Amino acid sequence: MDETTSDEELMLRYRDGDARAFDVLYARHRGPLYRYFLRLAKPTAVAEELFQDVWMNLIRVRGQYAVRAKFTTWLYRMAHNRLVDHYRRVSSAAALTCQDDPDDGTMASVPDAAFREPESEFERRRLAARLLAALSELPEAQREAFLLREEGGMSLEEIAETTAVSVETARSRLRYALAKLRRRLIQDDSGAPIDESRS
Amino acid sequence: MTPQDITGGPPDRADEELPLARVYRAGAKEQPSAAIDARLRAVAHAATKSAGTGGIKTKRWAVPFAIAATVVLSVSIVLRMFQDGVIETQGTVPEPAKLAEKATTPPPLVEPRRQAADEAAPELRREAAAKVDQKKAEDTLVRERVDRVAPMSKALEAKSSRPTESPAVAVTAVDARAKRGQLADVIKVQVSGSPGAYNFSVTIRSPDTGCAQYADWWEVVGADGKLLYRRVLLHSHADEQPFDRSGGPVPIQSDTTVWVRAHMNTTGYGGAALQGSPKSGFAAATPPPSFAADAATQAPLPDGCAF
Repeated sequence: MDETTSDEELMLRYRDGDARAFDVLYARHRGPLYRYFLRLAKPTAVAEELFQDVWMNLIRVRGQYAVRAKFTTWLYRMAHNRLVDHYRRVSSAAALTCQDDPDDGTMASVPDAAFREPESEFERRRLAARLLAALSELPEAQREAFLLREEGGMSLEEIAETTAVSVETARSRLRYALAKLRRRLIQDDSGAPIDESRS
Repeated sequence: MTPQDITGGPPDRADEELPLARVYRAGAKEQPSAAIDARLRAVAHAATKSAGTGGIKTKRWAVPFAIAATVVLSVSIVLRMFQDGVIETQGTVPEPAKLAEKATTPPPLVEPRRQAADEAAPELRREAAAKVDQKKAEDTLVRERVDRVAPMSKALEAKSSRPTESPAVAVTAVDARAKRGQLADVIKVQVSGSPGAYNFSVTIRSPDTGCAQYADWWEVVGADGKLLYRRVLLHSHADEQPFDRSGGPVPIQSDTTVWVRAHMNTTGYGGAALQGSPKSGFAAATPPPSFAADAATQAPLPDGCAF
């Protein structure tokens, strides 16, 4: 059991009683899954609770595990369902279950800006802080698409499967998320390392 | 490939996504706390020790084995009842002499027909014995004792069915029974870790309906009534019953006897509690009346219910 062992193999081993396999699996996904909840559920204490819920659920249902999809798709599907349940209870948003994002029609004018790599680590961190702020303002569905991409490392098909929407919807959500983030960064700092020549 | 491997990333990632992804990665560094890590790992490890593969995974032989075992057991019981005279052949009347013989002659240790049935299914018996051995080993390894609420419920029912001494006592008993359905019961406690820093995984059954009525914490209380640890629950569990919540570290020694109990935001304490130590395991017990009632006002207390 090493770094090359697949998630699916690790989960099968854990299912069959190998506790060390869980440790490796948990180490791989604890950070990404934690940040997924951290950016989609507030306050932090609730995000931590949801994070623990998902892992506890994984432990509880491990006996039923079979490789029918990528492990990350299975894991984040549980996370997505938990999140939808949370949103439903707090009634703060139903965006994750919406097929259409409310501001789809406003995106035609979003520039397709591209980034240059910030030259310094300091600049990169400064830009990252603004990016995270902009991310928190996205509709939940778009934010989730972005997070599944960046934290879950998912393809569009996997995002669609995880969130139970069509690939086109997933593509749309991700595209709008990226476009809005770029636009927001351009608006915040026109002198920032953003290449507007492509817009 | 891990999710954080940006360059390896999603197979359909466009090049123009990479700069934004790198900037995001520069700021997204948060990690769960070490306490959360320790608790989840402890629960995951304990689960493999206590329940093998867990969940509801079924083995291929399980159903046939269960059917065969049921048939063997049923046949054995019927034969035994027949031989003991509980079941008489229709139309026959037992002779007094035979009845007397039956009364004075002890039954053989192993009845011939039952012995034959057993010999016909040695595989089944071996599997059953293996399962018993496995269960014993699991009990020893995990030091986990699963305690059901039933004994306490029976005790409560027995208590409430005693002759009442006065109308006031009768009313109190009725109130207690009515309240009982609104209390949070601790039904299982698993402990892991080491002396001075034990992690508790507590299974609770509570009549949650939402934030208006829910179990808002479980806690560990010393035998002297001192609050040692409290796990505040941030939300209700209306659709998840019973539910598990872990917490810790609890600063006790392996032989420290403690109480584990839960609290409702509406009715307070009073549900089933477990008593024990990491070393001995935990069993259902009834704390003294109003035991450590003042703990309800001690910190930490919930500062809200998420849902």
